[in-house]
Amino acid sequence: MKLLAILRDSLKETLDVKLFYVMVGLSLIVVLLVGSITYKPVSVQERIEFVNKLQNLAIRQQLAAQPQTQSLDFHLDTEDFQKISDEPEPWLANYRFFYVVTLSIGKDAAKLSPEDRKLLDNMKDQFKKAITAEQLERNFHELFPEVKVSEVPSDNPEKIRYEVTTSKGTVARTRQEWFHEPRLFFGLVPVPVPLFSLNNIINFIGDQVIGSFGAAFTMLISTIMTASFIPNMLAKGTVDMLLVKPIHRVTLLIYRFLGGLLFMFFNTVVIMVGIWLGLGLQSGMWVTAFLLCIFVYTFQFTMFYAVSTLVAVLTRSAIVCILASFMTWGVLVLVGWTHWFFIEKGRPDKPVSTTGHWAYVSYDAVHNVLPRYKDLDWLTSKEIKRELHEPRLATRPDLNDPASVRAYEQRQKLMEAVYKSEQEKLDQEYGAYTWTSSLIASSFFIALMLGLACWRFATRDY
Amino acid sequence: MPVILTGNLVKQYGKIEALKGVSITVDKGEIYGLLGQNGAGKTTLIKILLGITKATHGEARLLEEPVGTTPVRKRVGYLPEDHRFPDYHTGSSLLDFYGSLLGMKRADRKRRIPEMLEMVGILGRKDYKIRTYSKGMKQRLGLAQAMMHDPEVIFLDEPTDGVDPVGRREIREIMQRLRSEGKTLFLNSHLLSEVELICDRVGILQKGQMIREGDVETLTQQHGLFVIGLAPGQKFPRDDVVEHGYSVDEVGEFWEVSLHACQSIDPVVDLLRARGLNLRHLVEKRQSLEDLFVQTVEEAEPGVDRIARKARPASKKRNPE
Repeated sequence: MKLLAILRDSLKETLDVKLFYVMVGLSLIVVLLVGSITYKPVSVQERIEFVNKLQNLAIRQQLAAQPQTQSLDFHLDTEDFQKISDEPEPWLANYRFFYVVTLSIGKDAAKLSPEDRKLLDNMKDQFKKAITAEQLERNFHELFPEVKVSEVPSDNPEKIRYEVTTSKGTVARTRQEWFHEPRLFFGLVPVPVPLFSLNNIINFIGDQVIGSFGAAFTMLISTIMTASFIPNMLAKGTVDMLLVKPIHRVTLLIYRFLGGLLFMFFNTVVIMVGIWLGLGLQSGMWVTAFLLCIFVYTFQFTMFYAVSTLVAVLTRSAIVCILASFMTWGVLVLVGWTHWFFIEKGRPDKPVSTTGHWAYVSYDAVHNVLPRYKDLDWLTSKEIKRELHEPRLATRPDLNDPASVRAYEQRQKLMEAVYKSEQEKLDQEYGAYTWTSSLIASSFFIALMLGLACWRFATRDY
Repeated sequence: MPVILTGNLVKQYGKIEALKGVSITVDKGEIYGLLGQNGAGKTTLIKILLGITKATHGEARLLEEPVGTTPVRKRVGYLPEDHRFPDYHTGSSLLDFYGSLLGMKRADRKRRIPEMLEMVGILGRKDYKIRTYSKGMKQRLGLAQAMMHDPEVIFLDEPTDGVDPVGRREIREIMQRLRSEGKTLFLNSHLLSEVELICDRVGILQKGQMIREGDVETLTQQHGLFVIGLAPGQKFPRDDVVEHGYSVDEVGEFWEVSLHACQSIDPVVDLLRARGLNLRHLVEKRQSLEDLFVQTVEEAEPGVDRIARKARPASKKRNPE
């Protein structure tokens, strides 16, 4: 009952601060913004034309750089794009289309001078030698596992035409692996970003945008808002009335500390559940690892709040608490990043003279002793990526059709292989960081800070 | 057994000795007033008794148990001097919060909150935020929270500070009511007239030492000083009375007659009657608590300059009560 009373009191204090409503408003805006993003699967033709645009730009720049080719115009196009199978999903269907390379001088073909004609023919020959049908086929394998490319005659002397036919869909096996176009405000405003797979878009929004900026913002506001909880409780004239109540000082401080943590927890719940729902409803991808962020962010906040609590007991000043929290935050981020960059990255390849150096060993020890703020960030990212790369199948096989079951199994194997390779990549990058060691080291630090705070509060005269 | 008991209580803050062996005893049902100048150690003494501050040496017991224990704190109420209530609370929600910390059941809190607020006269403002309260209202709320759980002992540090005269009278009545209910009150106030009116016993603390203690009646009595008043138009035979060996001072319309050792006031009364004078006023003069306090404090520190006090008219010049 006393715990509830103190939590209710913390809630009242929170609701009394205007900044809280600003934070709620901003959180709602972020949730609504993320929830308003729609993900439209692009057609295969759109995907190829998107790549063509990029290539056109790059080749034109190359041509413009040379004086003898400055007058040439170059572009890649597709023509007569046809879907030749019944699959409704664009990534599973087969296609036939013409891939057209146009090389021109920007003049009417009939008015070309003999020099122009010679330059054009020369460039076409060079292009055909450099990019053969076999080469194009290899290029298209990035998108199509089975594709046939053959050159066909062209009526226009400025154009080289290739017929492209696919036979086993695209390399994407599920919706999340296929390219999507994100649009804000329920499809109203396109987001000016390159086409990425749904996996990558969700990872970018969830892990990079929300996980980095969102979490930092939430932690910043929560630190400011909760920093005054304990100093206010310890203020002269307030603390006397609490200390005469039949509640142990340590209990009082811990309950108040929990009040601050609950603020962060509920705040993160609102944001992360909102984002999880928004992303899930719009993309169909229910990434439960996003919900893990609620606990990780709250735990990370506990590190700063434990420092803030100790400083509050020592100084009774909210401003000093905020500064101490931010300083801790900065130190932990800095230590985390530098440890990863200088110590952990490529550790197996480093010579013993480096890994055995006293500075190397000391810095490693400092990292091991301090709470692992950044390690937890990376571990969470790893979990999100792991889940995003988990093999999922968009279509179930028809069990009566052995061919369909075989195809399903083949796809499954392929996905598992991709998943394994992604995991290996993640392990290579963050393999040294583990949940157990990160949680134990961080918990020890929190316990130490809280223990010191409780001891000081219990023995101090007020 | 006394409700409050301290024995040779010492409190040191580094080199500063805030309490130098203070021993007091307060019995059940008493209103005890603790007097002293600023920095005399009054608040330190209260805080030690409440377990907020720990004594360096000595014994302190409350309700027959060592101070600061959880069972004792359940039976004690406290209104600190410079209290600062969390202003995001309303009067009602603050009492509910404190009631919860005191371990009161929800039903009890629901019943007691309006009772207490009505007793201190702020029931009508129970749902207003404390930040809208005047100083006097906050003081009343402080009194309400100190009485909320029906404690056996209540410590009140300047309970009438910032309260208007009507409010002071109401608070006095509440204290008297609490005494009639058998509660013990430990009062710390600079309003000595208030203390004189309400307290059974007082102690004067000076620089951490208890320099005087006793019941108000006894402490304020002045042996051998009488105030005499005659009928209008009649002249007091001053020279004749002085001839009989008395000292006489004129104070307004009255005469103060000081008796020396073994003297009685009866010869003076006989003299006045023999002269055919009509006696209208004859009382043994009592000292006010304020006078007693000032006198005691000055006696404790002879030779200390107190410009402000010396500029003030001497107590003899005051009108007798």
